[in-house]
Amino acid sequence: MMPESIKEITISGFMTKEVKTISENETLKEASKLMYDENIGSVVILRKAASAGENVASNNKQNQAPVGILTERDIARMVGFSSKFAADTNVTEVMSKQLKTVSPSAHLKDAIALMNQENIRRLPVVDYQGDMVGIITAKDILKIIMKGFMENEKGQELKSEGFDLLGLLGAE
Amino acid sequence: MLKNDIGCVIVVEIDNNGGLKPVGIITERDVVRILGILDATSLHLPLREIMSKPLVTISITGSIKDAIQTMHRNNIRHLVLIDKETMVGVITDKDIFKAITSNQTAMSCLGSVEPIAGQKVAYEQFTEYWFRDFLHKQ
Repeated sequence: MMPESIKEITISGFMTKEVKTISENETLKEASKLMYDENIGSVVILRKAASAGENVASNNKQNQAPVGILTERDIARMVGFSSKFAADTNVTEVMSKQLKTVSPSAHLKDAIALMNQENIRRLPVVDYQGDMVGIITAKDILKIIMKGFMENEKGQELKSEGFDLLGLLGAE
Repeated sequence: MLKNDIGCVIVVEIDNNGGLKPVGIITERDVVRILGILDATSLHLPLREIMSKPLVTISITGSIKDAIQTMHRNNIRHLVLIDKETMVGVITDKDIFKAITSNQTAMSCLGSVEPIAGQKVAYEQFTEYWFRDFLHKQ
């Protein structure tokens, strides 16, 4: 059944499940390299010692508690303080520790409200056991919103022609 | 970036008439890229050598849809807004996110099964509205 409003869809349906993570004992240099290689704007730091870039979904489900998030902004800020900056700084010294998360059963509107309230773009999705099961970003939400706009605007004709509306938004 | 709490700076050239010509952009992602593939000393290189170019721009008359599509196509989050030849501001994905999600009319357009009469008009009005009100003026 189609949800009455896009805002009522739960997070679990459209979060990114493959979250790039790094362990607590890695450095800023390693985090930057991972972010550059994967072309992503953040990495989540896990308490357990895991190898860089390890995929949460393929991991043992135990001890997947996120302890912080390191974003491009955190790194740029650190670099700006040139007197304090070193590439071998531990990620835990730079990451945001006041981690804001959402439940996979939360609605899209809850994620939107939290992002706007906290002025952030990314929310790790954490289940009732405290394990991270995905991440939802403002970019993901914009994609969904634009898909909604387009479907409303163009109606069903484009769909029936096999025209991929979402593909219009994706990276080429 | 740090002092102004912003995610990018536009690199400009000064032409013979003293006018400012935008030539590139430095974003937080560029800082991460330099750190990830080069080293910390490269952070002292001249902006000319490390900035992202060419600048991806969008006309002030563009729509919100154009802006989002341009961002996705180029996998970027910042667009320089151009009025004819002149840079008038920068628009980010966060601006768009906030503009859409805080606009009741826009959000009410979403997800309904049947298209509602008048919806397209509301959408068009909305895209004009945000470009006027949500850009970062110089």
